[in-house]
Amino acid sequence: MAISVPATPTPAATPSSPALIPGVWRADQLGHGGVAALPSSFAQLDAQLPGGGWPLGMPTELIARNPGIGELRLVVPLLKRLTRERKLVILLGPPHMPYAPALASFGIDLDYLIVIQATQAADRLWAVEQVLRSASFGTLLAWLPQGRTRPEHLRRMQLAAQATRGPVFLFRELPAQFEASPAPLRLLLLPRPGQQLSVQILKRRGPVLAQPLVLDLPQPPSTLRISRADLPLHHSRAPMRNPEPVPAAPLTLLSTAHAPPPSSLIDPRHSSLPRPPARRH
Amino acid sequence: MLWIAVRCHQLALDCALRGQETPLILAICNRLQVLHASEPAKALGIRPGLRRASALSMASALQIIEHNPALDHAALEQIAGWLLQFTPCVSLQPPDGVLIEVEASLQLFGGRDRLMARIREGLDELGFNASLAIAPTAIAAWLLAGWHDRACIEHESLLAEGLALLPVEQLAAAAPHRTALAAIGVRCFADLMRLPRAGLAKRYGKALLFEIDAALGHQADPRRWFEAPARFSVRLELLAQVEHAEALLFASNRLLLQLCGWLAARRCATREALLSAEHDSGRHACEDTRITLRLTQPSRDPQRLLAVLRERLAIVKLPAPAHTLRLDCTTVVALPGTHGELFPTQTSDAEGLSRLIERLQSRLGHDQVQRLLLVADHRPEVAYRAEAVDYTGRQPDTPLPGMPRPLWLLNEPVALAERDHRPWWHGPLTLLAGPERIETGWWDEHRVQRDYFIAQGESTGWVWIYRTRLADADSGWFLQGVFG
Repeated sequence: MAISVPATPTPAATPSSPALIPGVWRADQLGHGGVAALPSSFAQLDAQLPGGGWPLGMPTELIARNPGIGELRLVVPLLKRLTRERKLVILLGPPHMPYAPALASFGIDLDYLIVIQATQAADRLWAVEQVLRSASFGTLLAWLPQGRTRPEHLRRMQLAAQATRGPVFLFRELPAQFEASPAPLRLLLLPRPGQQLSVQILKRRGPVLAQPLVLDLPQPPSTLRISRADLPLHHSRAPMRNPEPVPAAPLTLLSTAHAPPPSSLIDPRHSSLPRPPARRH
Repeated sequence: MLWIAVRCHQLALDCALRGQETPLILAICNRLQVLHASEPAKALGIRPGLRRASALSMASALQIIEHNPALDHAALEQIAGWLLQFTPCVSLQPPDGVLIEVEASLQLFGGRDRLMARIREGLDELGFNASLAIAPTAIAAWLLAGWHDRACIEHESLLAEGLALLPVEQLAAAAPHRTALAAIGVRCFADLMRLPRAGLAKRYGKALLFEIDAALGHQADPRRWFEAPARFSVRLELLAQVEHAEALLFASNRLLLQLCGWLAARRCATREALLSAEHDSGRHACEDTRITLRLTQPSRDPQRLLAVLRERLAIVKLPAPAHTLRLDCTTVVALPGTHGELFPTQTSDAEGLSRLIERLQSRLGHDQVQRLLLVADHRPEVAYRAEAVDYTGRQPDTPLPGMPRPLWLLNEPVALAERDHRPWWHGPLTLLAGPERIETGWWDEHRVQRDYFIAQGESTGWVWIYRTRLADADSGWFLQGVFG
């Protein structure tokens, strides 16, 4: 069997040089060459991803047990950036309703966000492929039906993704980590206390990373609004428009983890939490 | 009328630093004292008002720039030229302010808050720190912006009340009489209004009376509108000598954004712009380096111009260090504004997208491809709407909740069990923050009386739970959202 060798120095001759043939990298290095990527804005994660961020034109699998552990906040910086650049974000088959006020307060422009609901597993798999084939999106976030997703589906998705120009995220459930998948990047997400997320890289174009990364998730913003911030100055004619002023209860961060909240924060009439006897009438 | 005042408190400093990517220890001085100091200089204790010699003795690395009011005025005109894209009624208020009348523009730019946010963001990208205020009269807006960033008076009838606490030295005509006014106990605008008018005019001049009346809208205040220059040619001096062309990207980006603002104000686009880097005239005297930016189609999209610029700068070599950048717009083509598209993406993408949406809708159902709209309501389940994607209404200008909200909202709140006086969901939940009381909706069927808490379980992330306050069968803990 004849193997044609290009007339360039072999990697062995210059061990530190990057891959000389496109798409080829040494097994102990990250495959930086030829991978276009968008930064995830988590420096720790970017350092470990080939290309330094979420890869474009290939699926990235995010595997998590149940929705809500922080998997969406992991991509929120990317969504914010893309919608600001007027690129379309498509959420396909989300497990719950993406809550518009929260998305907007993270700075995501809702005008560039589409939600596609597909309850039937077959419909959802079909829709993923259709979206990927059209390639007219900034990024696609698709939740795949566990148990109905076969390797051949993933292979088709990977081929279709090659023609696209944005990151493609496939959200999968925990059993998927033991299945083979053609996706070049697979991350296992596990919840951690204290607004952190543990990210284990199951597969990447590069050496195996044994230790999971621990990322600080972006905090839900709770900034006060422009016109409502200046109490001494703002004179709105709110009673005309808002029939009922909403009581602005101060949101207090309670101190330690497992202590019950101070009784002053709880309405005494309905509270079933322990409270000092002095408050009993 | 509704005026937005833009006041740049440290205009001279911004002018000096806007071409500079890295922080510098810098002070703007007149002959005697420091007028403005950059952040690193402030950290060393250099404050405005300090004597020049004292400032130099505190930081030997301090770079001092002489204050040049002509440069300030030029910068103010550049800001005014950029603001013309939002309204044709732009008026200069030297030394540091620009006033724009925006009542007719609110609809187009999506409401007051969005417009203000857009102006603020744009000025920030141009490299100017500004405080913004909004009021029904020009002078009132200008005074408020000098006092409080983001201040707002919504209606004429609230002017007197809103200005009452304004410190009296904010008024331009009162500043020379500051000590005299303080001596008679006049500290704020309300004190000033209590004085007899005739005496006020006699002691402190008619200008003060005029300013008070104009602020309250009792006095006509005709203004000269600013007109954009017919040609775009803007220079930006760099503080440091730049040797590599790629290092010019930061400063030239600012010029490009300014150019795009100027083009938008004239409803024009460009096909070609010329960026020149000026070199030292000393020993290494040489011609300016000229970099031509060409587009295939006329555009005023800063991203497109920037993409071309980035490519060009990557291959250009500077023969000598550059100290100044200049951007000229060589061809200007009329390009009327496009209609607000449903998804204003690039044309080819939009075409592919509409085909995709049609295909998806035909199989999944018309209402299954959705876009999300905000609704001004405090009840979480009513605060958004999912409309079919071809719904063409605009995103309403809705205030965002000031409190943290979860990224996932459950379709139906889930009733939680209570064990050991604690809500239970896959394990005990610990309350982290709250309560946020939401009690509204008495006018329709879905009245809510709830106390919301952020809670955390051992195996879950943050969740959003509430407890009903209505004394009926449904009382108890409910899970409504997950912070995702």
